[in-house]
Amino acid sequence: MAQFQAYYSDGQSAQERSVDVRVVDGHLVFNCEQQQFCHDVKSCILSPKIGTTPQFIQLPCGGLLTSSEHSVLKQAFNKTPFVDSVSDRLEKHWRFALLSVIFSLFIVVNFVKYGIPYFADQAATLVSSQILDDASHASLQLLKDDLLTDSEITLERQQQIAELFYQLPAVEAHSNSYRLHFYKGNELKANAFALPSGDIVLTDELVTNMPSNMHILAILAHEVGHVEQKHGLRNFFRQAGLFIVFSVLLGDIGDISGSLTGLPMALLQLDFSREFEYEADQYSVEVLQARDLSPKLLIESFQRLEEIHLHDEGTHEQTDSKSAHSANALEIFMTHPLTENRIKNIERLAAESQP
Amino acid sequence: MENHNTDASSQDEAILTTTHFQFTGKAGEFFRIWIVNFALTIVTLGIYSAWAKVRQQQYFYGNTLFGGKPFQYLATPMQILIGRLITAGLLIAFFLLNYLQSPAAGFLILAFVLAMPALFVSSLRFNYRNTAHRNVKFAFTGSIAQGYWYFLILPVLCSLPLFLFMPYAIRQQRAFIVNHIKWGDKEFTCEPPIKNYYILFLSMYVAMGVMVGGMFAVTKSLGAGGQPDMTNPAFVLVFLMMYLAMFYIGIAVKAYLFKWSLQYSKLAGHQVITQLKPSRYVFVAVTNFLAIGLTLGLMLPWAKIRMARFLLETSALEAPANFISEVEATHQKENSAIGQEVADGLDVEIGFGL
Repeated sequence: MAQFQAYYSDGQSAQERSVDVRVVDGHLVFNCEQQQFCHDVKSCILSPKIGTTPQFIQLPCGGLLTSSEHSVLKQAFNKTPFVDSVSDRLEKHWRFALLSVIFSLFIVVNFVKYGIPYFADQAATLVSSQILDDASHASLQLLKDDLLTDSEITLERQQQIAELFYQLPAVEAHSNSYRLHFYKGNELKANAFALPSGDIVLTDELVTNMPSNMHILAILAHEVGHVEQKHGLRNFFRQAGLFIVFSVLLGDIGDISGSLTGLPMALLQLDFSREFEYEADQYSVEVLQARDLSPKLLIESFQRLEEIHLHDEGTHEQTDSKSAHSANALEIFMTHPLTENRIKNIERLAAESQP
Repeated sequence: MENHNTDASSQDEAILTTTHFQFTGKAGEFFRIWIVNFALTIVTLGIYSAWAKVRQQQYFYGNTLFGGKPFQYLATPMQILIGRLITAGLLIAFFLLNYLQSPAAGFLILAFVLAMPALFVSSLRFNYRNTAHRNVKFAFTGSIAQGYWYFLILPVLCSLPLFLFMPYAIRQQRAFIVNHIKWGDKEFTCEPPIKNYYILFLSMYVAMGVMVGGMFAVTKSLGAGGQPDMTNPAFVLVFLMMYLAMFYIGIAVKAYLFKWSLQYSKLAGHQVITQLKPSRYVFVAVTNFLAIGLTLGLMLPWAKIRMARFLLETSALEAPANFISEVEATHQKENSAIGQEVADGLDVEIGFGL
């Protein structure tokens, strides 16, 4: 006959009394305050065993028994719910914990690295372009209202650039979805950007500072690369994926989850952003080569852009090798790769495609 | 448990006993529970997370002792799963709407914001109803309407004149929560002095003002024309310091708010005692944060156990020796199954920090 020590509380008040419970023929029997209790085990509910915490037995009369004699309880209630018995068995041993660490790290790292980009890119191919166009037009309107002003570039020059733009193979193929806009950038300075809808904006500051129209073509090809490869949408789905995964993974940290997940999430998002820049560069190189133009055009335009930006910020000092080294480490905080790294990449791409 | 007499002037009063909280959770044991549940959650594509949550809650409740007796967490995995599915749905909807800046999205985000107070009160109800000690349940009696007043209307009204009445709003929110918690038939009351909140928030504003001012000065002296240049190590350093300072201030504010919620609370007229030192809280929270960050989250179980122990072992209740046995369970009217679901609330876990 099994026996265990427990505390009994009747569910009417918070008073608790120590009782000795005997297990007789599948019944729990105990005395409390001159009253005898006898309950069929089948009508009692045992709470799952969690580590070494006490277990609770809900009695049909509304009373509760609390006991830490897990092994006796296990015998008395020989049926524990499947999920809880599996969990408890695994939670008891360090070897399963170690296995779980390795397994979890492996899955999480690979999912973030390959899973999210894969699913996000798949999702991006499924979404209709209508919503995207609306959103893009709304953003362009915002930019026009706040920052951009009418272009001061001569219509003749605009014409020349537009002609080059509309000859780009992708633009020619989907001529009704691509539009080229000229605006004075003001605070945006020398800049070019593409919206997912196919609206591509060149700022006056960029146009006037480029040595030739062919350099501008190289930049336009890069921007068309962003549109063709659906970077806007892919980026959205990747960020959404990261957000969901991180909130699921670290949802239970509580008060500090925001600050703790913020940094790694931001770093991963920036990593995706730089990946897209490299992809767009590659697209531009391919377009240039197809037209028998040198990828050097893209390199030169990046160098020129960097010069302009450095000039604007009033820092004329040459980057020595030491600061270049620290800049390299800081690339992880940037949306675009360092110009020198982009150049290296373009040179590599150009060399690869040479027979 | 220690006994001590009250002062001579009130000799007819019963002898007061200090009943302490205690936390017996162990980091190693909880680590195994946590990591095994994490792996099982991955294997089951997230479904098991509801079971994982319940087991982890049960571990913490079971290891939280008041007068030597454990707490009980009563929610079932199915209830948690429903709450989680709703949360996931809301998150996805929120993300999509946020991205597609269309006018319809604006309305839906507004609806989401409008639902927050109701969800918050609903979660409080759920969590207290599913907490029991010595087989007597807790309850949260605040209504959804009150939730809207304290967590939507009041903060908006108070923030209108330059956030001048914000400390008042925060104080009212804190008091509202504690004032609607019941253990059996005994009610908690909380009346923290308003001046504490004003002093705290004024010092916070001053600290932030000094920081933002300093930030501008540094930005200007580095001469970037307002454009943050992340390639400049000096900038990165300034940003990092700013981030850390904000983090520190946030934790310190939290520590004081938590302390006052306990310090000025009474259970059926009996004083809740806290020896919590805010500086110590900040130390525990910051070192926990570093430990979690540096071990890629592996120290999370240790950090949670450590924080729970710190918070609980500084708390106690001073009441007559027979007080606990006089706490009686209240039997709420049994509603229909669906009515019960609504009244119990759903544990929709929406961290305001997310």
